[in-house]
Amino acid sequence: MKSNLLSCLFALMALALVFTSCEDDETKPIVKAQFEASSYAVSVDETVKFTNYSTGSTAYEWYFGDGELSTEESPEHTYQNGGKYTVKLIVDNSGVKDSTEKVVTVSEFGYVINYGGYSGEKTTISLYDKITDELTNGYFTYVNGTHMVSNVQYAYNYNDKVYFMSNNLDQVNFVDAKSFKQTSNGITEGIIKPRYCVADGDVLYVSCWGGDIWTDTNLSYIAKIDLTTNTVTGKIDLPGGPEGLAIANGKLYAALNYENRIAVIDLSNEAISYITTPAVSSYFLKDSDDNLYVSLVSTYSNFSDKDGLGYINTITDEITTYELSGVSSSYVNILAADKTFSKLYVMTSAYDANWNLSGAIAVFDVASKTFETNNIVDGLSGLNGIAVNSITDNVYGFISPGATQAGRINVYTSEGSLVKELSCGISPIMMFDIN
Amino acid sequence: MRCKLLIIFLVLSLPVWADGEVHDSVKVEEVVVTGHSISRFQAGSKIEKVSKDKFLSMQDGNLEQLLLRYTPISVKGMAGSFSTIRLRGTSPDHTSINFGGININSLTLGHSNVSNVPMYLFDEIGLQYGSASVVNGSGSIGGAIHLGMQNYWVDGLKAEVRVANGSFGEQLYGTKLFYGNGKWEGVTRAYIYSKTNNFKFYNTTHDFNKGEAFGEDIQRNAAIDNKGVIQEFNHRFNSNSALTVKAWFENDWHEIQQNMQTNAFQPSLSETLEDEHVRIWSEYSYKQQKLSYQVGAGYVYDNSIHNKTVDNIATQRITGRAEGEYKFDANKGLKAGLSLKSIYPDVYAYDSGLNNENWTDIYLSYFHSLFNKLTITLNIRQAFVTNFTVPLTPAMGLSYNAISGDSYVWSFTGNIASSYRVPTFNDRYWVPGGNPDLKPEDGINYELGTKISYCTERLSGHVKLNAFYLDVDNWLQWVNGDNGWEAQNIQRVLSRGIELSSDLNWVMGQYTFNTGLNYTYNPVVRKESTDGQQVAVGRQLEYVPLHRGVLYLNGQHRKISAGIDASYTHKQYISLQESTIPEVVLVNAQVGYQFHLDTDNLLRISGSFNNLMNKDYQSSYGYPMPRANYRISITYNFK
Repeated sequence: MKSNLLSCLFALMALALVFTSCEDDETKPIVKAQFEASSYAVSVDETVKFTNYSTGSTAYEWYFGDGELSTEESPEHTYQNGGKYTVKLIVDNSGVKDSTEKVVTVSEFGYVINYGGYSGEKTTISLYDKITDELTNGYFTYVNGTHMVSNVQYAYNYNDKVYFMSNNLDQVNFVDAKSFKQTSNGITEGIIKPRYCVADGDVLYVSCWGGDIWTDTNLSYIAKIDLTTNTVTGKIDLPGGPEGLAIANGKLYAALNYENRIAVIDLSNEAISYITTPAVSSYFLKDSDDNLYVSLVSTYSNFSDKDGLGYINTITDEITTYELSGVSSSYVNILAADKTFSKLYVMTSAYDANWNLSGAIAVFDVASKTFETNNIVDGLSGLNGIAVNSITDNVYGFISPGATQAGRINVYTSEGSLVKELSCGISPIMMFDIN
Repeated sequence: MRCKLLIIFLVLSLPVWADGEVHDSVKVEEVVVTGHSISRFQAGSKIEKVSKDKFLSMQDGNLEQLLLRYTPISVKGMAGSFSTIRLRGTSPDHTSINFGGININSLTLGHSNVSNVPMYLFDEIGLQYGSASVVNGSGSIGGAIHLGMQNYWVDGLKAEVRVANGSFGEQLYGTKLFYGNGKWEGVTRAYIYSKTNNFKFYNTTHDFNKGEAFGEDIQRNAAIDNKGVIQEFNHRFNSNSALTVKAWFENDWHEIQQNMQTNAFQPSLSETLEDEHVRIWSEYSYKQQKLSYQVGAGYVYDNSIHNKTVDNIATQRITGRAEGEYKFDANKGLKAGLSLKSIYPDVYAYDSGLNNENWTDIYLSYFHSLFNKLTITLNIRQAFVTNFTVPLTPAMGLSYNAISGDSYVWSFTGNIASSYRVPTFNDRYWVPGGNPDLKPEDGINYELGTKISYCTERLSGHVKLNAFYLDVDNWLQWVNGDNGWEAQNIQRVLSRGIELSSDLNWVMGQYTFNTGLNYTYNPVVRKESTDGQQVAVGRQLEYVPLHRGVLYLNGQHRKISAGIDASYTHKQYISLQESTIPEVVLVNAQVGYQFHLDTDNLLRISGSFNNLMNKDYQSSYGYPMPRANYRISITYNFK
């Protein structure tokens, strides 16, 4: 009898619970706060558009983090000062509220490519605040809500887009330069082991190795991507492992990583001529006269004791060389110019005071066309790439201790004093700007 | 919660003591590989043999599948084409895989692709957990695997033909022929295995066109086509002496499985890898009560061809071994041996001045039994390698039968063994990055174990508990060093663990059952790292699960057999970052039926059903594994 009573009591309680729940479900609206910014990395005085994707709400409160607020559904806002601002959206429907936050950083930026692991995590992008020297890792994932799927070899900003030369999945994928959003899959058809790119009008020229270049140097080519359709519309066969590219005086220059010559392709008829070099080449820097500096490197497959820098007159296609022993043969960005193009920084391997071979950053004086006697930095184990801060002229050394572990960015003054060390993603290789 | 349930399940499945009439005495099964005991001079070492029924159930598969299904050993693998062992948390280079007197591990890479070791060609598999360099030489820091073959000395003809067919285009055709007159014997074992490997999986790669995961997908361009033959010619001079010659020719081709994103967005991409192996081992053995000896010689050719390119990655080696054993009496014995090896690499990326390298090993072993209860073994080994210094390698072990009766034995074992690995040819000579000045990796392994074995008329089994402590110094890794990627001795790794194994057989009328579990708790951490990156020091090593266990239950009634097994693999770190591949529980089942057509002719039909819970999972980050799949095989035996 007692147990029957208890059972009835429990049944009544359960029913009461069910009906109470039903009543709540019927009366309370479901609201969900959600928004996206047109960009999460903006300059001072640049307007940010906030698009509201909230559901079930009728009223909105925006707090922009700088003391300003708005009740518009999808407002715009302009930040007057640099800094990190937490933007909060509170949505409301008859007293039922929800909120969400996102961070907008106002400064000047560089974007660091962390190559990632070949068989593990793929490339990540770190957002570098050039004013405060602060780093935000995982920026692509923050903006897109998903990670990159390839190992990015090089990134290139052109016509409001950033193009990534991606390997393993081999593709050329791109994001909107402002929002950093990727909205479509990358270009894979006709792209095999892309290395570098440069654009001319509506054509993006992509150096591709075409496969295992070290076993067959005839595999490589230049892919031509029509940027209006985002498809590969042509191919220029170019044996020798084209790496860095540059366009000057209507010609496409391709540094060949497996031959002691540089290919010069006349863009009007795609005729190829060559500039003979004392070593294989890897990357270009173009000066204000449209002439090219090129890194000349010694590699295992193409040894040379004449490595250094070359300077190509792009009218005559004559090359002048400046020897520097130990120019890095890494497949990453080993050249960088300061903001006035008076100094070129060259990544090298050099002997330190204890005669141990270490990474170093050498300096080439553009005016005198000579290398400075002293490196600005020596003894950098795991040096993986270099860059220059276009505002402060600080020099960056990208350090990669291993293929599966976090890398490091060392920030130096132009004289070589260490300013800061920052932890970044796996294998940082380069920094690019978005203009 | 799932993990807790599994642990409860595992605990409940421990063999329970049952009352039973005592009849049989306890048998301790010795692991014998190609006529040699591998345990006699290694008291206290954990050496096991995969039981015959489990071994037979995996005849259509490879070593990877066998290890994952029935042992707690972890394996990092792709879907059937490539996999490597992590025995007791060590690297793939730290487990030797022995065929006769040959360690089949690649001399360039240091390890074997255990997906290319077909079970059909062998008769048994021996597993040695823990350092075994003192017996096996360089590389056996984590342990050793022995591919065993038996001599049947048939008089007449004995034959087997096997056909198997499975999911995703899997096919195996195999035959074993034994022919002889009792003194001469020829044995031919051959197989052809192929698989389209076009299984379905859920592709988590983000599709930016759709704004969501790619979704349902089919693995492309991951086909496998392996074939191999082992030919033996053996002669038994008398009951004391025999000559055996075995030659293993193997050709393994597969399309390199592409990761999920490439599979989704570059569906036509196909890369191939072809491995060619010739392994020949011949041995003369003489056995008498007091004195026995073996003299063996071998030749190995390994070649690896990537994408049909002409770049050579090949090595040849000539090897020889002489070993003598003298028993002073039943309780004392001494063994001495000499092993020689000359290696000729032909690798496009090595310095052309590297012609060959010579290895000489001398070793001495002693065993001593006292009162039929305590056995002590002492071992010492010294290797000499061209232009390379190898440490002296001693080991000492003991086993003690503490309590024994007609139906049970309770024993305790202990072992201390040092070990070493000479860096691979790639580590030392690959240009760029190889470093001839590397030190050998060296390890010390401490082992304690206890085992209770029991046997009655209706019940037999064992429970075994082992604890180990393995300290490996000068652990080698390729790092981005001062001049690009190079090999360096940068780490000290500590692997500790507890291994629990149990096995129970019982008879109920006309039904026989077998159940058991193998469980490993294996914390493996970087103790020190000299490369200045301390991020992962103290954290579990990549691709080594902290917990792994397998559980099985098999039954047989007359001609019908059936079994089910489950494995649990804990989450695994994939890099020095925090990403992991998640834990997974896999359940498999198998059934079999055999017809005795007459006294000489037997037909067996068996079916294996894998991943019954239809799980999407990964063993190597970014590479999917197959969901539920099956394999049906028919075997015909003559005599």
